[in-house]
Amino acid sequence: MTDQTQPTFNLLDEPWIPVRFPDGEVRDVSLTQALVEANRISSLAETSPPNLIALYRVLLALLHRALTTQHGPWKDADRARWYREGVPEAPIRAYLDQWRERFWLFHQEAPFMQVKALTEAPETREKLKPWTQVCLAGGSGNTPVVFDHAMDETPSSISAALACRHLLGFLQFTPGGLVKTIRDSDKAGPLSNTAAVMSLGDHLDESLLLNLHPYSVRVADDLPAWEQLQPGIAALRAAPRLATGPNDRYTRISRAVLLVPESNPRFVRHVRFAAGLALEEDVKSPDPMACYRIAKDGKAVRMSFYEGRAVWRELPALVPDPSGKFNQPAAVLAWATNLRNRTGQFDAPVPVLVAGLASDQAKLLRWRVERVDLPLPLLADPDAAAEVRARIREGEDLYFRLRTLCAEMIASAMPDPDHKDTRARARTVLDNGPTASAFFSSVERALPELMQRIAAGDVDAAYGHWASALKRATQDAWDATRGAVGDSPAALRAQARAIPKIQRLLRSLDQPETETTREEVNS
Amino acid sequence: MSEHAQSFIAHLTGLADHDRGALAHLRRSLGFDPGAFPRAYPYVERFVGPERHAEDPWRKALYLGAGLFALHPEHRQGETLASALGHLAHVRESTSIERRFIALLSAEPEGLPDLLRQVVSLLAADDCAVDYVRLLDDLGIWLRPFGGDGRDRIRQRWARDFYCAYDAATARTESTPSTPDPLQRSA
Repeated sequence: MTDQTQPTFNLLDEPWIPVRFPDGEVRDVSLTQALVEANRISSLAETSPPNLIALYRVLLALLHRALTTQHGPWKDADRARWYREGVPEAPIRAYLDQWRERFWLFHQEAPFMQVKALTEAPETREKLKPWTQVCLAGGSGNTPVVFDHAMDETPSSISAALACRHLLGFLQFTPGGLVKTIRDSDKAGPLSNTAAVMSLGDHLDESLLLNLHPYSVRVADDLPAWEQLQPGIAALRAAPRLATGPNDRYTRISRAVLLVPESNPRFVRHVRFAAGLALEEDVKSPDPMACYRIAKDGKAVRMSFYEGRAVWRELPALVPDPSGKFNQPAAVLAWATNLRNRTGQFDAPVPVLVAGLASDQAKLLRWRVERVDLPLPLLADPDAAAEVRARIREGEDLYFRLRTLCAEMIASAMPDPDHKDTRARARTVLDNGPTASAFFSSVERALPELMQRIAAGDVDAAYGHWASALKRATQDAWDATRGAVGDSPAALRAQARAIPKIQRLLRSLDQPETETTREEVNS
Repeated sequence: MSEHAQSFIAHLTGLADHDRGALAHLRRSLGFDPGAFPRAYPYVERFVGPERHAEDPWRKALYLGAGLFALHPEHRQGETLASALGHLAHVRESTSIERRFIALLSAEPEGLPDLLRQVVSLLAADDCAVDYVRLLDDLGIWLRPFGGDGRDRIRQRWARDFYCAYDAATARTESTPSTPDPLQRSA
């Protein structure tokens, strides 16, 4: 390993971003190619969800700054024109040439998205960490290992391209917590514990334009990391700062990292690491790619990935809610909807990418990428959105009632059914069993048709279709639960006693829009 | 509900009206394994069919059903054995009947005849009629040596019939024992 003197690995020239072409070929391209040839690229092909979203965000910040600095103020009409005619190449090339020196991955003054001061700072001068420190999927320090058996003392080396992608994903999604270098603990990255959403186009240029944050005079000083001064140690110690806007959020150096190149500078084995430019979150300026659910206490809760819970159950958080009482969809979806409306795409379904990483405090839990195709009216028409929200809530409520009945049934198949510990145990058995997955996978099959019918304005048919889907799902979930409880006489008795209640629950679905109280079901 | 079972029960009903001696023989047959008491042969064997062997579950079901009918010759369509028992347990407010029923549900084919004889004697004491046609059809499946799914389905139905009748609260629901069960799908 060396602390090199020559700048190497310029991200504008080196291939480091995996992209997929329309013929299915996947290969790495440089930042310049990704932006200039975006109309010939289908999408990014990065496989790690946090890195994928982080790469899109870097490209969005680049495109936004290129258009703003070279083109001056622009409006949605311009965006629609670029969408139809292609993004102009000249401003992008001019911008990249202007900032070329800031895109060296290894540089003696200002390495890309890193903090050079770590080479000199007493806290980090002698302290090298393995590259897994900045890889969200990697184990390092005292994290428990399952599949990753990397040794901190003898780290492997990875390509500089991969190290850079890991770095970007890490800076966006790192959870807050102890750092113990320069500062004891640090704030979370902009997307920590978030399922980020984006609208997708057929080609990369469309995807970028759909999610591009609008020009605004207020955020003219909203600069990405490469246009800001190289942070010194004092900046790392400073109090948390609000983001100046999307460009700052998309490229915030939320941890100070310095990749240390090997003697062959195309490989990285070690990094220097410290607290970064802490991000202060403000409820009034939410992340453009995060959806929020308004909790009962009025607090906005970010949409994340929950165990065993498919993204479609969070659909109400993706569709607009003018009342603001239930949820707040991601701003990028509104920008994408505006553009689709302007370009006259009313019938095509809108593919939405949901990707990210869920964490519990500093513990990373799971990451996921999902894609949901939404009809445009759901994103553009509040009434249609409200209808979908009501239907999905109906499904959730029904499951809640079914779960109560099934848990009661499981408890009464156990010894001492009335004891509260038995009831708690029954709920655990139920949650580890097939009930929820049987119910929601059955409901999910009816979802596309529900959305199509609501989008077409055929609410009655949608309602009937949904009610029969819910019945089928209840039936499936009941069958699965019954099968799991077995056929001992005690289980048979419990099932026999539960069936009239299940039948009543099913009949309640035939009475549209009546509130069946839980007491009624449990009576 | 099979026609075969119906004609057999019609035949037994005829015997009950005209041939009390036959019923006595059939009653005695309950002390033996089903189909192992020669004096019962003249009344049952012609319904077995030449293609069935001695251990055929349907043959056993016919002999066992005939014995039970002879013990309590009161047939009423639609009142399954389980629901009759449930009503009886409800009327007598008896938990011992429920325990007997639970024992019946967990019975293997070998132990079933004895338990059924006790249960039918209970029903006879209170003059509760039973749908013997349904009972016969169910026994034909239950007595299969590896009953598997079929036996489980029948046990589930019996349990439902019993508790529908037994639980006063649920007796008001309109699910009648003889309707095909919307909540029971064959596996």
